[in-house]
Amino acid sequence: MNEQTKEFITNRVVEEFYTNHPWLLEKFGEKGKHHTRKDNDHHLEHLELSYELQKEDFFTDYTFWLKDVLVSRGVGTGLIIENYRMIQKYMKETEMDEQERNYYAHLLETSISYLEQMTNTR
Amino acid sequence: MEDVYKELASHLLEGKEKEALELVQHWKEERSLTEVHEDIITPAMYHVGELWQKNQITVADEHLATAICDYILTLLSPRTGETNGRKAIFFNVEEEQHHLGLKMAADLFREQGWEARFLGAGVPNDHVLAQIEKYQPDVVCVSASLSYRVPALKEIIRIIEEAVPEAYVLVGGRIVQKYGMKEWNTARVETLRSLADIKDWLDDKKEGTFDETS
Repeated sequence: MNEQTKEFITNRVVEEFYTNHPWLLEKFGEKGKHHTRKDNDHHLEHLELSYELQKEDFFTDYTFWLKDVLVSRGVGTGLIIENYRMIQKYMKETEMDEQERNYYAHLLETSISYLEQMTNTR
Repeated sequence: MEDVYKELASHLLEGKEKEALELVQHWKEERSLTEVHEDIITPAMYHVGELWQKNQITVADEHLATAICDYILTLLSPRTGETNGRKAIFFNVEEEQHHLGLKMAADLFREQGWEARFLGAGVPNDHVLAQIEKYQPDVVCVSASLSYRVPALKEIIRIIEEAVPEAYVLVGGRIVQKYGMKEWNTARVETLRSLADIKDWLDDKKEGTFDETS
């Protein structure tokens, strides 16, 4: 992914996230929005690193860690799943090598399944 | 062993320096420094990290534990004042703050008679490089924990290889421990997953390269 692609995805995700959840802005203000942006930068960086290193664990471990950090601080897995789905959606609107795109799609799908499983077993 | 490292973690988190130190010193009586580092202190600090991850402790608690652990490592550090003439330098990749593993690695070298310069965390690349060029170490050790640091880690390895092509570059920390990163290995670069691996590397080199050239 080039910088433009990542920025495009992050911008769109943050926009949609705050449209879907206006209470987030009321509760956390601009600082919260800034965090959502940073979080998405990190999601994309980890996807990219996974692909570069050809190590799926790199992203799935990150998701496990993220789930622990966020869930224990009151952010449910539902929001992470929603966020990952948005990344999937906006990624389709970007230009990217097909192999790379498929790799990300697969990784996001695997991680979403894991998160869904965690939600269902609670 | 789980009881011991959890007990240590609890002393560290409660700010009980004396108790933490006594526990470590007690184990040190029967074990090597590497064993104490790897079997007790490292898992205790990993446990502290997991507690933060699960929101059971705060960042302040984590920093308190780190500070006491750092103090204990300093007290355990083997400093004889005599060296075998071999030099090694240790630093964290830019912006990486987790330095305890690196500090343990420096002590492993010291234990084997090496002169070790520990730069720790927070030194910008150009200053690290200037120090390396001035010091001319036989070995450069670099560490990174958080997965975000992979690009920076890759970059600094390349820079060091260019700056001091004769030196060995050893790469460690949580990233290497978890993912191996063997693809980075070359004749002069080696990723080492644990303190025991570093010890093996040192033993191997003691019988080979460094003795032949000295």
